[in-house]
Formats: sequence, structure tokens, C-alpha cells
Amino acid sequence: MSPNRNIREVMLAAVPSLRAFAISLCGNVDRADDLVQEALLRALANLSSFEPGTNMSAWLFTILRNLFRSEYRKRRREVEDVDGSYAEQLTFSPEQSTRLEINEFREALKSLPPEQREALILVGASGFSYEEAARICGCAVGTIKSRVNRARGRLAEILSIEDTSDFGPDRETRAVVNSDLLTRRS
Amino acid sequence: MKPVAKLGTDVKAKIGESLREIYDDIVRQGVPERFSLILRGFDDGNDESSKNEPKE
Repeated sequence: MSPNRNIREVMLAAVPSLRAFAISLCGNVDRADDLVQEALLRALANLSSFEPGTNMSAWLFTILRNLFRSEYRKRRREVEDVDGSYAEQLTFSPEQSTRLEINEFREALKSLPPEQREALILVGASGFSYEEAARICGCAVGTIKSRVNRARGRLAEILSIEDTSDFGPDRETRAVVNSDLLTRRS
Repeated sequence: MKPVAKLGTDVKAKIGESLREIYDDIVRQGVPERFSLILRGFDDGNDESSKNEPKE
């Protein structure tokens, strides 16, 4: 019953990126690792549904994303997301880097709607094509393109804006804006 | 949906660069042992199962 060694090695090679994606979804390394583990076990149990020759990473990402979404829905029902703290966690964990500008970028990333952030990460960091990202997210290619564009547009706006008075952002965004990231990044 | 303004390639490049920096920080941590154990099982011998573990 054990899957052949070759496939397991291909899965193993996908783990670092899968893990980075999971952390970007969960914002918590421990939960992300549990999610990765669950996804790997799910994948091993369903190896017969993997089509050889197709992208193993995309398959694993799809499984992980589906698990995350069902867990998230369940959790929302259970916890009612007191003060939205759970939603706020949905980004890379803050201790990843001590560099100020990267932390500011992280804050800006955190302020994006989850589906925009997810699309941007899949395309801009995980290296998937728009088509692959669309399959992973179960939506149209045009939707992914639009989300990625909006995500980039919003990040550019947040990170380059100089005067907060005509922007009217929420508290978190304003903190990012006030930190005059642009002058240091360019 | 309202179309978003076109972004310059340098803006896209800067965003991509920061994004990958955050992402690759995690990728560089490699494969934690718990996952290599799941995927390689316990029967592959120690030499091989320790190859892809995180550096630290």
C-alpha cells in the first residue's frame, strides 16, 4: 500500500514551498505545520487521484488550501472570531525577519483581503502560473489575474502614500503609512 | 468590477522582491523532520532521512 518512493520524493521536494504557503495562510507556524502534515497524509491516502505528469506542488497546494478553508469555516462557527483576531493572524509570522522594511511590507500584506493575498502569494512567490493558481483556488483565470492586480495595486498604494489625511485607512494601515517605508525602500 | 490602475514594472518587481524575500525565508528552512518521516517512513535508514532536515 505504501506509495512508491519516487512520488514520495517529489512530494518531499514540494514541502518547503507548501509550508511557506501554509504559514502565509495561518500566520502561525505550529498551526501551519499541522496543516501541512494533514495535507500530506490526505495526499498519501489519495495518491490514486494524482495524475502522473501533472504538477505535484499544485496538487498538494490544492489539498492544503481546501483543508485550511474547511478548518477556517469550522473555526469561525465555533469561535465567532472575537474581535477579528483570527482573521488578523492570516499572514506570515512577524518574527521571520528583523528588517524594518520587510516588516512594514508584511503589515501591508496583512491588510489585504485574504483572497487577494493568497492569489498574490501563489503567483508572485510560489511561482505558479495564473492558470495553476486558478485551479488551486477553484476559480477562473481572470479572477486570479484581477486579484493579483488588485493586491499589487493596494500594496503599491499603501507603501507609497505620503499623506495619510486623504487616504482614510484603518489604524493598521495608517501605522504602515506613517512609517515612510518608501523613502527607505527606494 | 472596477479595473485597477496599471502598475509600472518596477513597482511589480519591488513587490515581488519583498514577497519572495518573506517566502524564501521559510522555504530555506527546508523540510522539518516530521514531514520527512511521514514521506519516507521509518525504514529508509538514517543517512537518507536526515538529508533534507532544516539547517538549524
